[in-house]
Amino acid sequence: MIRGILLIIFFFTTVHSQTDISNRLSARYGDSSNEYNYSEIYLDTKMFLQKEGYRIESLFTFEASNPPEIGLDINGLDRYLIGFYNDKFSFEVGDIHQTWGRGLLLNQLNYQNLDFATGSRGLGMQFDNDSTALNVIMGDVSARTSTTVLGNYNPRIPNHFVEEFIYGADLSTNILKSKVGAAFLLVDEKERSLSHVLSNLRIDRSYESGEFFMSLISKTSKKDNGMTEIFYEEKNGIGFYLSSSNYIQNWSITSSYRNFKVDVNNPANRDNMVDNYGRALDIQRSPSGFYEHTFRLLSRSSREVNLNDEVGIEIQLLGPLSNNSNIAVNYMKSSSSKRWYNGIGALTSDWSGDNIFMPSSSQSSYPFEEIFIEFNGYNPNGNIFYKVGLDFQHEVFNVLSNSTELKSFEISESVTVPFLVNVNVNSLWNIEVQLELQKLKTGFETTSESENTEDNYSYTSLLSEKYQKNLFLALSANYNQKWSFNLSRESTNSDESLLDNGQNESFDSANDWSSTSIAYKFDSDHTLELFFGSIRGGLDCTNGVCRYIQAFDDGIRIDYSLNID
Amino acid sequence: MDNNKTDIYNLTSDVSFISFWATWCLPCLKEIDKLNEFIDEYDNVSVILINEDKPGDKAKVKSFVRSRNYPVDNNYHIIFDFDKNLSRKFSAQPIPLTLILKDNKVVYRKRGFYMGDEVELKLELDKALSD
Repeated sequence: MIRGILLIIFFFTTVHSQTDISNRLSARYGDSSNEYNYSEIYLDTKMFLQKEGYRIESLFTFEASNPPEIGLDINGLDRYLIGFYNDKFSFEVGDIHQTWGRGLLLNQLNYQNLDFATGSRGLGMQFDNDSTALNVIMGDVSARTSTTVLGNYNPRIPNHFVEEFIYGADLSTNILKSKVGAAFLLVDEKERSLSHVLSNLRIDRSYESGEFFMSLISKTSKKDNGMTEIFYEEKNGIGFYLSSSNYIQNWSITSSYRNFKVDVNNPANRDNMVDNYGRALDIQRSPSGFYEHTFRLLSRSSREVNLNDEVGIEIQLLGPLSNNSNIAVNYMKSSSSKRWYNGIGALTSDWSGDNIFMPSSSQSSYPFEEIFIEFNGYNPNGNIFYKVGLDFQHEVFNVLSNSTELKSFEISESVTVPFLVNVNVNSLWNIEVQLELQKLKTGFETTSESENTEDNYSYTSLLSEKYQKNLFLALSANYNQKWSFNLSRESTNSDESLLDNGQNESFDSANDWSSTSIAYKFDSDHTLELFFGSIRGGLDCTNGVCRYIQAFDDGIRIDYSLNID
Repeated sequence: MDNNKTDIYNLTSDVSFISFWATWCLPCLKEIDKLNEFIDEYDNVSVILINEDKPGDKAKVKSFVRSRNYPVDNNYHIIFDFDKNLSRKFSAQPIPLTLILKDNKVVYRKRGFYMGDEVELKLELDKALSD
């Protein structure tokens, strides 16, 4: 491998006069009082050779981490990609990332901040003419995650590993003003003796006043019983996604419907990502399902679309209120594709379900509902930007029991008001203030039938208070585009330790997190940042991929990055 | 934006202005608003705005672009980077990242955007056109 890399570098350097080379170095260090320590260095080296009619590109990423902020220690070459490209054909070797259609069948991502990497190491090819494109892929995928289903759970270090070999093709062509695509993908997973076959049909059509997209996937999973006498049934799943956008002058309305039933399981087995071998693969991602919030408190309550079992709709209205202001209204509703019921006896694990095709509000179907309204705009002078929102959420996380004798659900409800204003004071100073307020309720709602047949309702909070009141305040000032000063404070009135159940040693029991940071830009691609203080733990989401990130308590962080062209 | 896959180098001209952006990136939107105020003065510059939202947000991005009246035409392109290949290629994270290309070579590179930066962008475009 090393010899191959040296040969590539030699090749590019011998034609150096025609080659663009760029490097990016980033170094990060963290040390906290709750053992959230890390040191990591990344070096990206890119080479680009442009010739008449074709070009060659390469990317090598080296990492030295001990330990990284999140993920496993790596010392040496982490990723590489070498590609040949011309108008009609491209050929890539290395860590391939492709997205077919809108990703329902294949969407390979690499989010270092979440330790989420689903690229495949192997080959990728694309043939393209004016109306038709063919993508071919073949390679190994190594996916990893942290799960409480297995022992030794640590939010920073993965404990579940999946090694797959994937190969398949995607063909798309223009037919009657529409783009029609078809794809298949075969996936072998030796460790668990699994094989999956995925196929996809889709259509994408744009017209003067809008566009329409529809995608359908099917997935079949087989598990070899090997030498055992256990019989594993073949699992068949489907998924359907439909979206439509319509434009009326400057206003637009976008709506989508999804019905995903790749691997439907009852409440007792629903979240077992290790043993449910029919589950959607890590390389599959749903198109949009929920609004991705950029405000701090709201991003913590973001959701991932559940490809295995979810029916949902999303509607977004977007448009200008005046020359300088806009409004966005988002409504999202989803649920399981079934309403779940216990059999006779409240504590039985025998579940049955009724199919539903539109998202339900019934607590037995894991409902989620959210309304988010946002206003944003500038003042007439253009030096003040503001953004203010209002968000309502209601969700049932868990269906613990739903029989005639006992109904018990884990629920969450919240109201959040976020606000941001950015003021360009003069040519030297820029100031930003962000304030978010949230009222949150989370706990168990239980209704039991007593001996005298009267219903008894009880609510048990998972927090020390019935309502948790959260506050996030951040102030930042930028001077002359060189210096940046930031202060942030987050607080809550409630102890969250009940959420822990004693399983997670890294759980944070603080209720106040403050921090200060100073950054200096040597130039736009050369930055040093120093951070002191604490950051509250919680969900961190990037483009629909979410992961719990543990709190960082009373520590220091140093970030340095440099681009060299 | 027209649902066709394309190589970015099919859209560039002698001088091209490239910016990586997303609907959730506030400085990116400020930069685009300022760009739209003066880009009419540069007929011969190709503008390529590379969107970094997630694949499922394609319709949302299109709605966003329509509602903001971005002047999409043969010289002003908005393209999606769903597989993040362009982002990796140009080390675009964190965004916004702005590039000016002359004959497909990067001659100017700037990360972040503050009000007032548009003056520098215009100067750099003028410089690339006059060289």
